[in-house]
Amino acid sequence: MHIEGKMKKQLVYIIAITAFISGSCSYSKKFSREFFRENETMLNSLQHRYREHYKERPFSIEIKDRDFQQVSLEILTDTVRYIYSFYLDDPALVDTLRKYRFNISFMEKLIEDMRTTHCTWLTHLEYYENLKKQQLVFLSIRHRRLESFLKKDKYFTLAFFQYNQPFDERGRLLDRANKKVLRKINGAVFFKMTDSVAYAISSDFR
Amino acid sequence: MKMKRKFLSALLLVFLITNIHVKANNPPQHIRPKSTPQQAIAYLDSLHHLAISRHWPNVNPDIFLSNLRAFAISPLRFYEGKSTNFCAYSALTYIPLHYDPLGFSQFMVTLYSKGEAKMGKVKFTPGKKVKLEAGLLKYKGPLDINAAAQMWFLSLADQFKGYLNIFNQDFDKGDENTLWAATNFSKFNRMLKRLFPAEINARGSDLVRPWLKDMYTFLQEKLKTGVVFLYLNNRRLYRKKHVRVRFGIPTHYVVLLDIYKVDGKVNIVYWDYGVKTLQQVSPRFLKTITFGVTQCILKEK
Repeated sequence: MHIEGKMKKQLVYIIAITAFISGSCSYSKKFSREFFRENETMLNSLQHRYREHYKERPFSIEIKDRDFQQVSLEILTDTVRYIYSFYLDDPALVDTLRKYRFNISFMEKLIEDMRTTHCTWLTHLEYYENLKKQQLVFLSIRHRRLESFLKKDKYFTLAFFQYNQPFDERGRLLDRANKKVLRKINGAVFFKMTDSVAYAISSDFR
Repeated sequence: MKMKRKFLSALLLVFLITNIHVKANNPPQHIRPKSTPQQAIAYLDSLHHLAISRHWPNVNPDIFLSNLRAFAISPLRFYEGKSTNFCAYSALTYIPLHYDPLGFSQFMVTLYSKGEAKMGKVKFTPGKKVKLEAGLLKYKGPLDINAAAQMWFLSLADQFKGYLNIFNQDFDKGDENTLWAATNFSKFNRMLKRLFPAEINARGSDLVRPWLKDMYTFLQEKLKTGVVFLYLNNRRLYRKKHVRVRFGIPTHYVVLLDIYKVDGKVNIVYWDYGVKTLQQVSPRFLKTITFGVTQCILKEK
């Protein structure tokens, strides 16, 4: 009788943990859709402006802390990639932007919009389809709603493609060249958000 | 007496762990490259066309030759691939690409045509699985279109084994991202010793940072006489998540090209594959992330 009671208790624990994990997974999915719907205009504008500016001055930005006070800037030239870290109020940030001929007000607005959308990483990725180079804009959202006591540091990552992408019936991103294969980005499986935007909940932001 | 013994044992342990090599200061050395990129290009042009290799069925000969040309023309564009564990192999490729591009092209062509080739003291005889995989790696950025680099990386990983590879010695699909391809510090130094005619001076280990009072001056001095490789804690160099790393371990190799101070900060210029990188860090950060320093002094034959 005693053993039976113990087993019952264990079973309840197992069910509770399974329910919690599956619940948090579907919660992540729900969060992704809700967050994207609420911020779609801003996210689209952010990636669009970034894509346009990237053509002139290739760069990536990382917001390094939760208070959005520290920023890391990666500036790409033909031969060198420069990586700098600044506090937002550090005059060296503006000096550096000036040195590399960035549009300062554009960059300030971009960083401000990243702060508004909880975007922690904004970059440009190259990938290949049938030996041809393609490009996408990749951004990561760091949001308190994606963190819990048991699971820390989850990121809502978004890939903005230049044109529509194939997805399978479960909404997973497929390789355009071979539609039987999942196309992973940074090692993660991506899901359909819109025809040209895919998302993943990832443990890494880059 | 007991205390003294304990102290000596601890000292010996630290000595062993940190793999200290005591070397006399070498005079500055200016190595003349054994061959030039022009010689490599002339050699590749003289081949006109290669027949498809039965050893590497998924490596297209035209793409292969065009990859080798690109290595000779712009060696710094050579790229390890996204999410792979090929950084150690990329790092050591700096030496043949810069000091003997012709020799490297000839080696690669032999490896392609005959399925085996010799470099330094090593005869490469890659396994069948590796030969079938070269040319098929995908989602690795520019490595996707670089079948020659895929061949070279897979051959190196197949050839050299260290303790990190003990539990995964045979290649299976996807192993380019796993411990099969990983390289511990002593394996890295062993590869350099066996592949190139060089004197190797290494400080550091896989777990304990080298005991250096002034990392900045040490690195500056080492750069004057040889090629310098750094074994770094990549989770701190390129943060991928916001958790505070308590027990950092090194996982990444880069080639140090220059180091200098600006307003109390240290600018390190390193080759991190595909492009040169200049990163501004504090002297303390540099010390924290550096677990190994290897200097390679090439011998002229």
